[in-house]
Amino acid sequence: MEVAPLAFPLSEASVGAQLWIHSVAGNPCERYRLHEMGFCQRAELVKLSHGAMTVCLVCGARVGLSAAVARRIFVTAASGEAPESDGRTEVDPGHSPSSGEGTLFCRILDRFRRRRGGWAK
Amino acid sequence: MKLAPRAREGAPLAELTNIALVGNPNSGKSTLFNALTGLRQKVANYPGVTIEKKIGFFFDLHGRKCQLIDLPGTYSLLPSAPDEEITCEVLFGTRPDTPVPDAVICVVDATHLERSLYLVAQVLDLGLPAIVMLNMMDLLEAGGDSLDIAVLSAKLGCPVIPCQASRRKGLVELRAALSHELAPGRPVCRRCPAAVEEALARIAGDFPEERVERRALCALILGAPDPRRLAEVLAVTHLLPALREEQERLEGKMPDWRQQTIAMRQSEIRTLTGEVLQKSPVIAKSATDWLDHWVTHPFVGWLVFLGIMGTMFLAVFEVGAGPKDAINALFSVLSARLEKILPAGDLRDLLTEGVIGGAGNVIVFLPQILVLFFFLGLLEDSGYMARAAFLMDKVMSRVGLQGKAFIPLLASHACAIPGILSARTLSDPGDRMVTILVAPFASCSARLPVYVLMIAAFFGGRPGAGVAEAGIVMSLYLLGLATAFGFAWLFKNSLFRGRPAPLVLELPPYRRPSLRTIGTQMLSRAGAFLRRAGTTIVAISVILWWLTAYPKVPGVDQSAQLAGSFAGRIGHFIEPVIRPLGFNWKIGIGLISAQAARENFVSTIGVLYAGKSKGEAEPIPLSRALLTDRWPDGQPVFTPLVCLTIMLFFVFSLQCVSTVVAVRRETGSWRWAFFQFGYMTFFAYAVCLAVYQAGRACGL
Repeated sequence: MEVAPLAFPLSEASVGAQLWIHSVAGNPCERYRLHEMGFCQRAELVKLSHGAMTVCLVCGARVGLSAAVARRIFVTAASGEAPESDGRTEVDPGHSPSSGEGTLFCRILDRFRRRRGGWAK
Repeated sequence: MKLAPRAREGAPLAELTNIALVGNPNSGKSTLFNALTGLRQKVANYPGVTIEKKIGFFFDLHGRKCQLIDLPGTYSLLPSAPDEEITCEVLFGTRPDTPVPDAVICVVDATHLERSLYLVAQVLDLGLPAIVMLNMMDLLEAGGDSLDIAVLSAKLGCPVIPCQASRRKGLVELRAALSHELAPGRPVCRRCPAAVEEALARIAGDFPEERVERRALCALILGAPDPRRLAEVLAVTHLLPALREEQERLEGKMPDWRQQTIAMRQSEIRTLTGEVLQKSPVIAKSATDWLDHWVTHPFVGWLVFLGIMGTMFLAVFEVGAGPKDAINALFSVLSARLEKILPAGDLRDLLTEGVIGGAGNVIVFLPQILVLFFFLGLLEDSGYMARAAFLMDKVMSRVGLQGKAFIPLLASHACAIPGILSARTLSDPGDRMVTILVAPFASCSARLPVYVLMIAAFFGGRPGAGVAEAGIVMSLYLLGLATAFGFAWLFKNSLFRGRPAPLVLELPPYRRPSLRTIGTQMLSRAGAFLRRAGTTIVAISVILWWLTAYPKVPGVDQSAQLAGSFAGRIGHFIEPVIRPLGFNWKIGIGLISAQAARENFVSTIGVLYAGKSKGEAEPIPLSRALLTDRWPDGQPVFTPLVCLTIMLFFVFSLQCVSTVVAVRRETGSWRWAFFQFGYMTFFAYAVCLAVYQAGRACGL
């Protein structure tokens, strides 16, 4: 089982993004509770803030997640209809994004955006 | 186990008596419970306030008595923490000390309808008669949303009543609904994947006949990743092998069958919500989002946290000092009057030195304790507690605990017992045990009188030391927390290994704190404090006065009389043990009496040093009386170093019998209670020994 190519951790999504939940990693008990709280496949989610906690709107409720949990929830960008189940709903913990390449990418991208803003002036 | 047969047969609910209140955490169950029963169950704006069931009574419109059971909040009937287990046991009728509920009031936060309907659907599946109370309708309407209550009621097959529990709106309608016939609600979403249906059909027949809707229970226990816990709750452990076999079979056929089952249920709930809820088209960034950005900011968040704590302790000294001095003056006047009215003798000494010198010296700290509770109430009622948990999560995870464990630690600053009880909200048994073992390091309000007295002696009554005093108290509180974290790390890396559970917490919106709620809690705390001062502390003060007054030695001065008394003999017996800490025998007696309750230290010292004020024309404050005490070589006993050592001893040691009993109850073993008492006392002694001896070596 593996993550779909477009799925990325919630921790790396930008604030204000509307997302679909793709999958949740972690042990079965934690995953089950997260599913029950609305973090199940194809559920819609809006990321509201990112600091000491990640706040997101799911099932109409504002839920705070620690950074570790936000890294374990994989999402895809919401565009059009909800994605159909592809049968690849579980993430192998071995493939959890602990290497930080996504974070590095975001930081580089972020710096690039800031610099571009500076040149425009 | 019985299944509320009267209710299921459609009997009028007015004839039924036991009604359970269930709902998600922080949905307003306890507020509704208080509104219906007139009781003062604690309410606050963060999840996990109610951690045990509470029972109250109310009358329906026909004057018939109903018993209302307030239950801990849960998101699901599959329990993940001990407090949720209580809710499930009561609903399933497996709790021996609680009657099977005849009906259920599902309290739903109207602003979180979709989330809340998941639990409502599970309750309806059980086949219990239910009423849905849509709480916080005012907030829903203020957000520009609207709800079709008639359609929702028709879809759920049960009465749905809009309400605002905090303003007692909707209670008459609820009472009216309880007077009508009430049938079990309509199962909302029972669809499962076909393979799960087949598995349910195979095992449902094995469940005992009288259960609440066997299929619903089967679905719950089959879906559980660890069915053992729920099987124990339902007393069906003999079915575990069959359940595990079915789970393995499902895993083979459909690896994500659990998620698909939940997703199907939530999809139906989403459809239902879409039909009844008209959402405002604008999703604007709210004030809550703005505040959340700053209070959980990795840097600004800490400044806010420390600022709040600093303000709190400064207010304890600056705001509480005036009323404290006034009460002190009142007791001084009372003591002087009694000395004038009553003839010299034991009765006069008992009242002035025993009762006023003991309990009176504790009561003077009431205003400062109330200021502390006022601030804790503000934090609880505003919604900041949940944010503080996230702020602390990074620190907590470093020591191996989840951020949610910070809520019991913060609650322990009022009193360790509710803090220890609120550890029930932690899902991981290891985290829960570690939190219980370290919670008493959080400085409770009983330590405050000791700190204030020692700080007053430390500064020798110098004026304008308010900020420094507040700084010392804040440092002591932070030191307690830091020690708790240190021992948590030690325990998590030795006795209770395991990674911390993830922190997922529904964030309540920030609300203007209700002064009524805070005032009620302050009154309740003040009542408890005064009751304790008027009973236990007075009793101990009187006993201690007797121990200091007898046996009478004629013809000796007061100091020799005290040294030769029973208390003096006991004190001198233990003095060799505490002498290396800089403590004399009187402090030793204070430490012994403080084992019952920490405030007793102040009352004991008050009784022992009452005689010191007699040389003065007017009674002098206890903090000044302490400074007059000398060692036989003429050196003062209460030097700044000794005051500091006493404060440190109180930060680290466990001196509260009630806490020991609470730990025994929560851990189910005296072994852990004694272990906690032993390690904390030993640590306190070791630290105080090191600090005092190091201070002496440095010439302090």
